[in-house]
Amino acid sequence: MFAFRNSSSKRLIQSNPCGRSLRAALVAWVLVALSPQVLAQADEQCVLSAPPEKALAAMMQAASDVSFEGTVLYERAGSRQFMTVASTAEASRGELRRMNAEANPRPEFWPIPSGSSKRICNVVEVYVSSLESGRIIAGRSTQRLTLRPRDTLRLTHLVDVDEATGLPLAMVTLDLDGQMLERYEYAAIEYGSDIPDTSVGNVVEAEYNRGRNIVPGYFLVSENPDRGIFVVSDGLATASVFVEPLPAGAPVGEGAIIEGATLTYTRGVRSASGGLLISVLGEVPFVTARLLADAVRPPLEDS
Amino acid sequence: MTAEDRDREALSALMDGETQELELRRVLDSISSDPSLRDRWRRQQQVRELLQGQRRHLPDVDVSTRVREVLDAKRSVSRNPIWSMAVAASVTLAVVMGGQQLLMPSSGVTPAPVVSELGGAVVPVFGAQPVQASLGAQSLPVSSRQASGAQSAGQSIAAVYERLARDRYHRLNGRHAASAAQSHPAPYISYVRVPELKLEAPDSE
Repeated sequence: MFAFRNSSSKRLIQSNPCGRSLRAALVAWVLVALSPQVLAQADEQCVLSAPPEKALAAMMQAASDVSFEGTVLYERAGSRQFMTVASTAEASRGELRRMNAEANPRPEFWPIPSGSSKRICNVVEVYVSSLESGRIIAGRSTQRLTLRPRDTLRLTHLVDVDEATGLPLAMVTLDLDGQMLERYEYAAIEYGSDIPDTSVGNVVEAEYNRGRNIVPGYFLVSENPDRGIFVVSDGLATASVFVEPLPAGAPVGEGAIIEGATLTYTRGVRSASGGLLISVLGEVPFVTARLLADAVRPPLEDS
Repeated sequence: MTAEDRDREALSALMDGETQELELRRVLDSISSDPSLRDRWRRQQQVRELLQGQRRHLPDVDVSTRVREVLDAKRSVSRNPIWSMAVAASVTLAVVMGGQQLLMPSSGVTPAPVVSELGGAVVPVFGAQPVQASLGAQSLPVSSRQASGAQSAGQSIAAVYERLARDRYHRLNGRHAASAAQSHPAPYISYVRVPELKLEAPDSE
C-alpha cells in the first residue's frame, strides 16, 4: 500500500494539539494511485517474441546469471570515473572498486538483483525496443538495443549488449530532448567459464512485488510508511519519494537539480497538519517527479 | 483660418492623440518657435491631467522637447530594419509593462501564481493586457520595480528549494541507489552515481 500508516495518527494529534511532530506530520498524508483497471491490465503476463524483446529479457537477466570481471568508465557532466567490477553468478553481491578515488581503493559491494518476467513485461509496456547490430566494445561483439519511452514520463536508453551473454557493455541515457545525461562503457571484460545460453531466453522467476500504479507505468515496489519512504519503478527507471516535515522557515515552493541522470526534486507544501517537504530522487524526467509529488495528499482525498 | 488657428487646432488634435506624424512635426516646430503656443501646450497639459486626476504635483516640464527627441531617435533607428525590430520590441514591452502597472495591486502583494500554487514556479504576468502607449510616461520604471520584486521573490524561493534539493540529493541518494540497483541492468552504476560510499539497504515493507 502506497500510503502512510495512519492508525495512530489521531492519537498522536490528540496528544499533541499542535500536531507538528514528525510522526504526526507524516501520518497525515498518503500517496494515491491510478485506477484499479490500469493495475489489472499491467498485471497480465506478456509474450516476449520479437528479437528486441528477447534481447531486453537477456539483458535484464544477465546481471544475475553471468560471472564477469571488468573495467568500466562512467561519465556524466563534471564527473568521470574508472572502476573495476566483478560478479559471480553464485554470490548474492558483486564487488566494485573506484580506481580514481584513492590508492588501493577499498571494495564496495552491490547486491545482485534477481530476474523477473513481470519486471521485463513492465519495461515492454512503457518502452519501445529496437535492435540493430552494434560496435565492438572491450573486444566483444554487441547489439544496439534502443529503449525509447512510449510517453514523456521516462528517459531514453541506448544499450550495447554483449551478443553472446546479453550483458550491457555500454549504455547511454538521454533526456527528453535527446541530450546525453550519463554513459558508461566497458574498457575490458572477462567472463567466467559458465556463460549461459541467452538464446534460450529463460527467465528465472524471482520475487517482484509490484504495488499500485502511482504514475502511468510506475508501480510501487517498496514502501516504509512509518519513515515516509516510497519507491516506484517502471521496471527500468526508479524513483524514490521521501516525505518529511518542512524545515522551519522554509516557504512553500519547489525546486530541482540534476546530477547525471538523477533528478532531485523537492516541494514544500502546507496543510492543516503542518508543512511537509516531499523529495523525489530518480532517473526520471522533471514531469514524472512532479506527478509523483502530486500523488502525495491527505488520506481523505484518497478515493 | 489663420496659421495660428491651424496651430491651435493641431495642438488640440495632438492632445487628443489624433495627430499624424508629419502634422506632429509641424506642430512641434511651431511650438519651438512660438512661446505663446508653447505656453498654451503646457496649460492644456496641466488642465487635462488635473481633469483626469493624474496630477499630484505640478512640475513645469515641457514634454514637447522629449517628444521631439523620441521622434528623431525613432527616425534615425528606423533606417536599420534590425533596430526597427528592437524599437517595436521595446514598444511592446512598454505596453505590456504599462498594462501591468495599471492593473497591478497597489498593496505590493505578490500576485498568486496561476499555473502552480508553489513559489519558485512560473509567476504569471498579472493584468498584462495591451494599453495605449504613452510617450514620456513614467510608469515603466515603477512597473519594472514591481515585476522585478515578484520575480526576485520567486527566484529567492527557487534558490531555497535548489539548496534543499542539493542537500537531499547528498543525504538521500545512497538510499535511492540501493533501490535503483534493483532495476538497473548494470546495478553497480546506481552506486557509482553516489559520490561517497553511502550504501544502504533498500527499504522494504
